[in-house]
Amino acid sequence: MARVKRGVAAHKRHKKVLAQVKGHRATNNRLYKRAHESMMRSLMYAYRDRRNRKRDFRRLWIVRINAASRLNGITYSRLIEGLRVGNVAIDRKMLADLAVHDAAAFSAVAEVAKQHAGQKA
Amino acid sequence: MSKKTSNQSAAGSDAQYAIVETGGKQYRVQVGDVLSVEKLDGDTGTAVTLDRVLLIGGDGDTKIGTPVLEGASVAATISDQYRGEKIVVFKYKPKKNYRRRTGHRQSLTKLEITGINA
Repeated sequence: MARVKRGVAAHKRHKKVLAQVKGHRATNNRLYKRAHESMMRSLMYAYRDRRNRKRDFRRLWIVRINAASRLNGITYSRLIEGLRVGNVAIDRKMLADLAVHDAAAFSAVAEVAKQHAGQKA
Repeated sequence: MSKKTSNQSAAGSDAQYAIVETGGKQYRVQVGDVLSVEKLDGDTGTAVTLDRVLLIGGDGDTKIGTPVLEGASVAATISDQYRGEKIVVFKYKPKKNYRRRTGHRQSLTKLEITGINA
Protein backbone atom coordinates (compact mmCIF):
# COMPACT_ATOMS: atom_id res chain seq x y z
CA MET A 1 0.00 0.00 0.00
CA ALA A 2 1.10 3.48 -0.72
CA ARG A 3 2.59 5.39 2.16
CA VAL A 4 0.30 8.07 3.62
CA LYS A 5 1.93 10.94 5.43
CA ARG A 6 -0.20 12.56 8.12
CA GLY A 7 0.79 16.15 7.49
CA VAL A 8 -1.52 16.59 4.52
CA ALA A 9 -4.65 15.52 6.38
CA ALA A 10 -3.65 17.53 9.45
CA HIS A 11 -3.07 20.66 7.39
CA LYS A 12 -6.46 20.27 5.76
CA ARG A 13 -8.14 19.83 9.13
CA HIS A 14 -6.40 22.88 10.56
CA LYS A 15 -7.37 25.00 7.59
CA LYS A 16 -10.99 23.99 8.01
CA VAL A 17 -11.07 25.00 11.67
CA LEU A 18 -9.19 28.27 11.14
CA ALA A 19 -11.59 29.26 8.37
CA GLN A 20 -14.47 28.84 10.80
CA VAL A 21 -13.04 31.09 13.52
CA LYS A 22 -12.38 34.18 11.41
CA GLY A 23 -13.33 37.18 13.50
CA HIS A 24 -12.75 35.52 16.86
CA ARG A 25 -10.50 37.55 19.12
CA ALA A 26 -6.77 37.29 19.73
CA THR A 27 -5.14 33.86 19.41
CA ASN A 28 -8.56 32.27 18.96
CA ASN A 29 -8.29 32.94 15.24
CA ARG A 30 -4.60 32.04 14.82
CA LEU A 31 -3.41 29.11 16.93
CA TYR A 32 -4.99 25.82 15.98
CA LYS A 33 -5.54 24.55 19.51
CA ARG A 34 -7.14 27.78 20.73
CA ALA A 35 -9.08 28.05 17.49
CA HIS A 36 -10.49 24.57 17.90
CA GLU A 37 -11.64 25.30 21.45
CA SER A 38 -13.16 28.53 20.27
CA MET A 39 -14.97 26.79 17.43
CA MET A 40 -16.50 24.18 19.74
CA ARG A 41 -17.63 26.87 22.11
CA SER A 42 -19.17 28.95 19.33
CA LEU A 43 -21.12 25.94 18.03
CA MET A 44 -22.43 25.32 21.54
CA TYR A 45 -23.53 28.93 21.81
CA ALA A 46 -25.19 28.63 18.42
CA TYR A 47 -27.16 25.59 19.57
CA ARG A 48 -28.22 27.30 22.80
CA ASP A 49 -29.05 30.60 21.19
CA ARG A 50 -31.26 29.06 18.49
CA ARG A 51 -33.47 28.14 21.43
CA ASN A 52 -32.99 31.42 23.27
CA ARG A 53 -33.90 33.34 20.12
CA LYS A 54 -37.47 32.06 20.38
CA ARG A 55 -37.75 33.48 23.91
CA ASP A 56 -36.05 36.73 22.98
CA PHE A 57 -38.47 37.41 20.16
CA ARG A 58 -41.49 36.45 22.24
CA ARG A 59 -40.40 39.00 24.85
CA LEU A 60 -39.96 41.66 22.20
CA TRP A 61 -43.41 40.96 20.74
CA ILE A 62 -44.99 41.15 24.19
CA VAL A 63 -43.42 44.56 24.79
CA ARG A 64 -44.79 45.79 21.46
CA ILE A 65 -48.24 44.32 22.01
CA ASN A 66 -48.41 45.80 25.49
CA ALA A 67 -47.52 49.27 24.19
CA ALA A 68 -50.10 49.04 21.41
CA SER A 69 -52.85 47.62 23.61
CA ARG A 70 -52.41 50.40 26.18
CA LEU A 71 -52.98 52.89 23.37
CA ASN A 72 -56.31 51.08 22.94
CA GLY A 73 -57.13 51.28 26.65
CA ILE A 74 -56.50 47.67 27.64
CA THR A 75 -53.49 46.01 29.25
CA TYR A 76 -51.51 43.19 27.66
CA SER A 77 -52.67 40.76 30.29
CA ARG A 78 -56.37 41.57 29.76
CA LEU A 79 -55.93 41.51 25.99
CA ILE A 80 -54.52 37.98 26.05
CA GLU A 81 -57.22 36.88 28.48
CA GLY A 82 -59.92 38.36 26.24
CA LEU A 83 -58.53 36.72 23.11
CA ARG A 84 -58.36 33.35 24.83
CA VAL A 85 -61.95 33.58 26.07
CA GLY A 86 -63.09 35.01 22.73
CA ASN A 87 -61.44 32.11 20.92
CA VAL A 88 -59.12 34.24 18.77
CA ALA A 89 -55.97 32.31 17.94
CA ILE A 90 -53.75 35.00 16.45
CA ASP A 91 -50.29 34.51 17.96
CA ARG A 92 -48.02 37.08 19.53
CA LYS A 93 -45.81 37.36 16.49
CA MET A 94 -48.77 38.37 14.35
CA LEU A 95 -50.31 40.65 16.98
CA ALA A 96 -47.04 42.56 17.22
CA ASP A 97 -46.88 42.66 13.43
CA LEU A 98 -50.40 44.10 13.29
CA ALA A 99 -49.54 46.66 15.95
CA VAL A 100 -46.69 47.92 13.80
CA HIS A 101 -48.18 47.65 10.31
CA ASP A 102 -51.93 47.99 10.73
CA ALA A 103 -52.95 49.88 13.85
CA ALA A 104 -56.62 49.87 12.79
CA ALA A 105 -56.73 46.08 12.64
CA PHE A 106 -55.01 45.88 16.00
CA SER A 107 -57.70 48.15 17.46
CA ALA A 108 -60.36 45.83 16.06
CA VAL A 109 -58.67 42.88 17.74
CA ALA A 110 -58.42 44.85 20.99
CA GLU A 111 -62.17 45.57 20.82
CA VAL A 112 -62.89 41.84 20.57
CA ALA A 113 -60.65 41.26 23.57
CA LYS A 114 -62.43 43.98 25.57
CA GLN A 115 -65.79 42.32 25.00
CA HIS A 116 -64.56 39.04 26.44
CA ALA A 117 -62.08 40.13 29.13
CA GLY A 118 -63.31 39.84 32.68
CA GLN A 119 -65.78 37.03 31.97
CA LYS A 120 -65.16 33.58 33.32
CA ALA A 121 -63.60 31.25 30.77
CA MET B 1 -38.76 32.56 12.44
CA SER B 2 -38.23 36.27 12.43
CA LYS B 3 -36.91 36.64 8.92
CA LYS B 4 -39.14 38.78 6.77
CA THR B 5 -39.70 37.72 3.23
CA SER B 6 -37.93 40.43 1.30
CA ASN B 7 -40.70 41.23 -1.13
CA GLN B 8 -43.38 41.58 1.52
CA SER B 9 -44.95 44.95 0.96
CA ALA B 10 -46.17 47.17 3.76
CA ALA B 11 -49.80 46.47 4.55
CA GLY B 12 -52.11 48.84 6.31
CA SER B 13 -53.49 51.34 3.89
CA ASP B 14 -55.44 49.53 1.20
CA ALA B 15 -54.10 46.20 -0.06
CA GLN B 16 -55.96 43.20 1.29
CA TYR B 17 -53.99 40.82 3.44
CA ALA B 18 -54.68 37.69 5.46
CA ILE B 19 -53.16 36.01 8.48
CA VAL B 20 -52.91 32.29 7.79
CA GLU B 21 -51.63 29.41 9.83
CA THR B 22 -49.61 26.58 8.36
CA GLY B 23 -46.99 24.32 9.84
CA GLY B 24 -47.75 25.64 13.32
CA LYS B 25 -46.75 29.16 12.39
CA GLN B 26 -48.72 32.18 11.34
CA TYR B 27 -47.94 34.43 8.41
CA ARG B 28 -49.29 37.71 7.13
CA VAL B 29 -49.68 37.35 3.38
CA GLN B 30 -50.79 39.43 0.44
CA VAL B 31 -51.38 38.38 -3.14
CA GLY B 32 -48.02 38.09 -4.90
CA ASP B 33 -46.02 37.36 -1.76
CA VAL B 34 -43.47 34.54 -1.84
CA LEU B 35 -42.82 32.90 1.50
CA SER B 36 -41.15 29.85 2.96
CA VAL B 37 -43.24 27.56 5.13
CA GLU B 38 -42.82 24.13 6.68
CA LYS B 39 -43.02 21.43 4.03
CA LEU B 40 -46.40 20.84 2.40
CA ASP B 41 -46.98 17.84 0.17
CA GLY B 42 -47.24 18.44 -3.55
CA ASP B 43 -45.09 18.90 -6.63
CA THR B 44 -43.72 22.21 -7.84
CA GLY B 45 -46.38 24.11 -9.74
CA THR B 46 -49.40 22.58 -8.04
CA ALA B 47 -51.94 24.69 -6.21
CA VAL B 48 -52.56 24.48 -2.48
CA THR B 49 -55.29 25.99 -0.35
CA LEU B 50 -54.59 27.29 3.12
CA ASP B 51 -57.90 27.24 4.97
CA ARG B 52 -56.72 28.26 8.45
CA VAL B 53 -57.38 31.96 7.89
CA LEU B 54 -57.33 33.80 11.23
CA LEU B 55 -57.81 37.35 10.05
CA ILE B 56 -58.45 39.29 6.88
CA GLY B 57 -57.54 42.95 6.85
CA GLY B 58 -56.86 45.88 4.56
CA ASP B 59 -59.51 47.47 2.37
CA GLY B 60 -60.51 49.48 5.44
CA ASP B 61 -62.16 46.44 6.95
CA THR B 62 -60.94 43.82 9.44
CA LYS B 63 -62.49 40.40 9.81
CA ILE B 64 -61.41 38.39 12.84
CA GLY B 65 -61.85 34.62 12.96
CA THR B 66 -62.89 32.67 16.05
CA PRO B 67 -60.48 31.08 15.65
CA VAL B 68 -60.74 30.71 11.85
CA LEU B 69 -62.89 32.54 9.34
CA GLU B 70 -65.60 30.20 8.03
CA GLY B 71 -65.28 29.68 4.29
CA ALA B 72 -62.24 31.92 3.88
CA SER B 73 -59.10 30.57 2.29
CA VAL B 74 -55.82 31.61 0.78
CA ALA B 75 -54.81 30.15 -2.57
CA ALA B 76 -51.16 29.56 -3.34
CA THR B 77 -48.96 27.66 -5.75
CA ILE B 78 -45.90 25.69 -4.76
CA SER B 79 -42.93 27.34 -6.43
CA ASP B 80 -40.25 25.19 -4.82
CA GLN B 81 -39.70 22.21 -2.56
CA TYR B 82 -36.32 22.62 -0.97
CA ARG B 83 -34.24 22.21 2.13
CA GLY B 84 -33.04 25.11 4.24
CA GLU B 85 -29.48 26.06 5.06
CA LYS B 86 -27.53 23.41 6.92
CA ILE B 87 -27.50 23.81 10.67
CA VAL B 88 -24.63 22.21 12.60
CA VAL B 89 -25.94 20.67 15.79
CA PHE B 90 -22.97 20.35 18.10
CA LYS B 91 -23.21 19.19 21.70
CA TYR B 92 -20.21 19.10 23.96
CA LYS B 93 -19.63 18.54 27.65
CA PRO B 94 -16.19 19.54 28.92
CA LYS B 95 -14.18 16.90 30.79
CA LYS B 96 -16.86 14.25 30.19
CA ASN B 97 -15.56 12.95 26.88
CA TYR B 98 -18.87 13.80 25.22
CA ARG B 99 -19.16 15.26 21.73
CA ARG B 100 -21.97 14.97 19.22
CA ARG B 101 -21.99 16.59 15.84
CA THR B 102 -24.87 16.26 13.40
CA GLY B 103 -26.14 18.31 10.53
CA HIS B 104 -29.72 19.29 9.95
CA ARG B 105 -31.56 20.70 6.97
CA GLN B 106 -35.21 21.57 7.42
CA SER B 107 -37.61 20.61 4.63
CA LEU B 108 -39.35 23.73 3.40
CA THR B 109 -41.86 24.71 0.77
CA LYS B 110 -41.77 27.98 -1.09
CA LEU B 111 -45.26 29.31 -1.71
CA GLU B 112 -46.44 32.03 -4.00
CA ILE B 113 -49.73 33.54 -2.87
CA THR B 114 -52.22 33.78 -5.73
CA GLY B 115 -55.43 34.80 -4.06
CA ILE B 116 -57.33 35.60 -0.88
CA ASN B 117 -60.95 34.45 -0.75
CA ALA B 118 -62.86 36.20 1.99
